[in-house]
Order: sequence, then C-alpha cells, then structure tokens
Amino acid sequence: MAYKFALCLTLPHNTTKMKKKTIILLILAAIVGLAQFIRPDNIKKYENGVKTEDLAGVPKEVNEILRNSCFNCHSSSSELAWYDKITPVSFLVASHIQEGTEVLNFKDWMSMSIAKQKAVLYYSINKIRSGEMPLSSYILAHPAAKINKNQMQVLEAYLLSISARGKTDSVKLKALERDHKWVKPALNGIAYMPDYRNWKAISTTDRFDNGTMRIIFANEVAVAAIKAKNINPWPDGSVLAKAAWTQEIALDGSVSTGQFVQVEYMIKDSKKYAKTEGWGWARWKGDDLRPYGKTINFTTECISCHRPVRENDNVFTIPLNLK
Amino acid sequence: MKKLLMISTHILILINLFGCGQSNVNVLNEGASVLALNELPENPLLLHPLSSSINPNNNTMATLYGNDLAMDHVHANNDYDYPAGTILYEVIWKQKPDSLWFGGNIPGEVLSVEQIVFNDKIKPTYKLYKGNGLQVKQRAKDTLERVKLIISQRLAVSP
Repeated sequence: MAYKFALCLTLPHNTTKMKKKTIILLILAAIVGLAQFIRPDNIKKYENGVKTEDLAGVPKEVNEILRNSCFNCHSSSSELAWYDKITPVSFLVASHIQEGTEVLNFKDWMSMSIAKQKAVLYYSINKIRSGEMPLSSYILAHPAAKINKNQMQVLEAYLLSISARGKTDSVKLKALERDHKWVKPALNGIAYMPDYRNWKAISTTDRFDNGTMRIIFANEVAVAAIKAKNINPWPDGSVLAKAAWTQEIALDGSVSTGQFVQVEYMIKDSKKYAKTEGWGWARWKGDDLRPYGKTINFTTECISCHRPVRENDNVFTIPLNLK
Repeated sequence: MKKLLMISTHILILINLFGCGQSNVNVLNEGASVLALNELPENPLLLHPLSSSINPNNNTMATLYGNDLAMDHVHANNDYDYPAGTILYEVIWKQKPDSLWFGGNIPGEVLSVEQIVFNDKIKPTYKLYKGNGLQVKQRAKDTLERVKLIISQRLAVSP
C-alpha cells in the first residue's frame, strides 16, 4: 500500500521532470536550429570554392596526401564534412581555414617559383614532423587527415628526390624554371620576356663602378635595325635586354660572371609608350625575378637615368656592327 | 634686351640644328666588330653568347659564343662534354672606356678569335685568328691550355 502511495506521489513529479528535460532539449534544439541561420560569411565561399587543382610537378601520391590532410584549411576550396557546417562548429572551422590560408594557400602553387614551391613543401613537412600540423583539434574531428608513417615516408622520399646535391638536379631545376609563368609582370603591366637568352648580343659592359658585368641582348627587329644602321631612333618593335651578373674575381684576377643580378628591358613603341620617351621600361631583379619598383612611377627613375643619352634615343649601348 | 633675347634664340636654334644633325648619325661600335670575315668561316658575333669574362691585368674582355648545339648543351648540362658538331668561339677585345658612362668599359678593338670545334675525335680542334684582319695563326702556342680554359667557362646563369 505504502509502495502504491509512493508511486502515486512520485509519478507526477517524474513527469514534470521529464517535461522539463524535454522543454530544455527543445529550447536547445530551437537555439541550435535558429543558430543555423547565423553562419560564418566565409564558410559558403570555402564550401563552394573551385576545387584546388593537383599541385603541378608533384607526384600523384604526394598530391593525395596533401589534399587529404592539408587542403581543407590551406586552399581556397574545402571539402567539409556535414558536421563542419553546423553552427557553432562552422565558426571554428571557418577561423581555421581563414588562418590556414593566410599562412599557406596551395591555390597559389602555380604562381610560386620552383624554389618557393620546394621551400613550401619543406616548411609543411617540418610542421607535420613536429606534430604541429594537422592541428590536433582538427584530427579529433577528422581522423582521416592524420598523416601516418607510410605517408610521411612518401613525402620525405619525394623531397629528398628533388633535393639531391649535385649538378644534375640543379640543371633539372633550371630546365623547369625556364617555364616562366610564375614571373609577375612589371608594375606598368609589361610582361616578362624569357626568350632574351636566345637573342644576339650587341655588346658587353664591364661596370667596375658597381662590380657587375652585363650582356646586352637585342631581338630580331633591333638586330635588323643595327644591320641597316637605323637605330636613331630605334624602330618600333625593337627590344633591348640588359642582363647583369656580379663580377666573380678569381685568384689570378680574372673576372667571370657570378650571381645573376637583374635583367632590364627597353621596348620600343613610339605610340604606346609616347609618355615614357617612346620606350616601355621594365626590370626584374634576382633569381626570383622580382619586378622592380614600388609604384608604376618607377619608370621616371629609368628615364631620368637615361636622360644623358637622350640624343641616342635614350640608349646607352653602342652596338657592335652585326653584319 | 630684346636684341639679346633674339640673338640667344638664334644661338639656341643653331645648337638645336647642330644637335639634330648629330643625332641622325648612327653610332655603331665598328672598331669592336668583325667587319670582314677574311679567313674566319663565319661571324662569331652572330652566334649565341654563352658567357662573358674580363681580364683586368691585360685590359681585355671576352665573350664566349656558341652554335645551337653549344647553346642546347650548356642549358641542359653542367659539364664540358660538348657533343660532336659543337662550335665555340672566344672573342677577345681590348677594353675601352664607355664614353657614355663613367665607370664602365666596353669592347674596343678585336684582338683575337679562337675557334674550338668538337668532332668525333677525342680532342677538339683549335684555331686562333689574330692580328689585323684576323688571320689564322699556324703556330698557336699553349693550344691545349687555351682549349681547357675556354671550354671550362660556365654559362652565365640566368633564372
């Protein structure tokens, strides 16, 4: 009887408790449900982003590892799991991607020089080795992203294969670097012209004032103008390229070409470049061929330096007669 | 005052005319050019420039030229085993000061042209062209040393 009484007393109490629980759960669900309307601005961009292409010049298996473990936060396209898209997790994911792409974005792979690409891979592998990457919180939610021993060996073997000391490798790298798509145009929009090494030399200079030596190359139009002795003014279409190297001085005092310093171009088009003395001016510096100058006005510097030879159509070089 | 202004204007116009006359002269570095082939089989200056060097002790400067085979070889390899058919020319000039830039030297007169031809034989052939009109020298000295020195030059590397 006592038991029955107790049951009678407790039942209504339990029901209220359960109702309370349900209400709380419902409220929570409603909050979570409503929260889904509030999503990080950039998450949509990431989930709908164009799929980042495989990294050019990198073996398939290396690509797969990087895509699987790094691309979600280090490229402009992310393959998100369903739970990544739920608020508040989506905010965490979005901030990871934001920070990740700021540091390294594999989308920019093609615009990196070969040397830079190699540096990026070394940087990445060392982050993985130290356990910093992929982030442990990320692996917790995405266990498949963890890089296992075998995958690590694949990455290491690949990096060693492109880093062998010796001539063959550096030459191979050079061959690859001759694809110059990664070189940025000059600030005035002039595109880099990699062909100049196939042009004819119209002179050389020993610039003992600044320790450089130069070879001045001319394209076909300019060479034809030299042959016709028609270089004042130079005809439209003429291009002169002046490449400079440091002077490497041997023990006996003889000097040979050392480190590449820069290549600078003068492109004749009297109409297009009427405002800059009829020439398009451009310069790329260093092995990574950085476009020279901070603003488009860098050409005023070129012109003012060439001012003393205005009578020679602004050209310092006195060409060899290439008959 | 007006007269003075007129005179100075005239002077300015004269200077300008004189200046224009000068600027129409096409200046080429004829003295540093190979104007006549004479005994040379071809004009080396029309081949690919591979590298450049300076000898301050002698006030000379040189450019190493090569044919297509030479160019292809140095761009793909780092050794001196040029394939048969390769032709190299080392052209040496006396330096002269650059009249347009204080602080620079440019090629003056051509002192010599050395030709190295790689064929199927072990040793490449060497010829020296020297003197007025660049005549071939029959008894060139230190031939082996010169060949070694010339072919050991590395390509002026650009990215």
